[in-house]
Amino acid sequence: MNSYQKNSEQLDRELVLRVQHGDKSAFDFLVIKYQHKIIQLVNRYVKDISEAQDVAQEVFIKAYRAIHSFRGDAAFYTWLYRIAVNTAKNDLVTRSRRHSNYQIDIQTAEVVENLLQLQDMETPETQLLNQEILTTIKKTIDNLPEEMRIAITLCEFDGLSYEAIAQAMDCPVGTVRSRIFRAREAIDHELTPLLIYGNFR
Amino acid sequence: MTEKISRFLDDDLSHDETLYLLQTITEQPDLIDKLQRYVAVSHAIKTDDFLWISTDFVTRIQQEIQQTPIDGLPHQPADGYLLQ
Repeated sequence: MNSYQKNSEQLDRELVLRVQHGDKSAFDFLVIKYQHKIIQLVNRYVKDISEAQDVAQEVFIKAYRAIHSFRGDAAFYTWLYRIAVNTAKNDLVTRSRRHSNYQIDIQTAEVVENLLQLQDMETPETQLLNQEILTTIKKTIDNLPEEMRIAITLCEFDGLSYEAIAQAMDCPVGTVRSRIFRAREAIDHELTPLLIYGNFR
Repeated sequence: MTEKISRFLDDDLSHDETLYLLQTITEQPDLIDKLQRYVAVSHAIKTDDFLWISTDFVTRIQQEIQQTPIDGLPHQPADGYLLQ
């Protein structure tokens, strides 16, 4: 376990303790910390980002309700992960039951199939916008100064730590932090108009 | 603070820095927006899929838990299995 993991698990244990003692704001910190991981995890099951966020919300509420049962035998994220996987699986079961009941009602398999396809379908406008967003991100990365481009690439594509990137680029860790941050800001700057246009909030 | 958000994404903050950042984010909605944008871009770079998380996701949970009691029962099922 590296020092970050140790720090992170220690912080989680402290936050859980605070929640167990009635401090609801400490739970907000846990939500902010893990929302992305949980939504991305749930989305791998339900394959619909809007549904994934609803299910993830349910995951956090379940975790909050049951926070007294968390004894710290495993890491908080491991506990939350299990709740998320089981809740996502339950959601799939519930949705398939809902569809099979509907199928019996209308007795037309074709209609159900079409409904399922429609549910997963993005509008052409959304698809176009998402494609434009991805293109903008790639183009901005390609146009970054070399040091920034290499730093963000090693970080995002290769998943290297700042220390490893510093070694690879033969520069101090502080420089790596700054290069990655400036790369993200450059992408953010280019992307913001598209996100406003697409009403991403 | 935005540089700290960038470092947070890459697991580079210490215990105290993370706690301070989380505290600050809950008080400043524009920082939540920044975090969501950074995360969406990071995910898009890795997976070629733009996955947007609503900026009010945290607020919706905050509102819900205000009305949600914590179950004090020691054996409350927390694993999400359906009770048949």
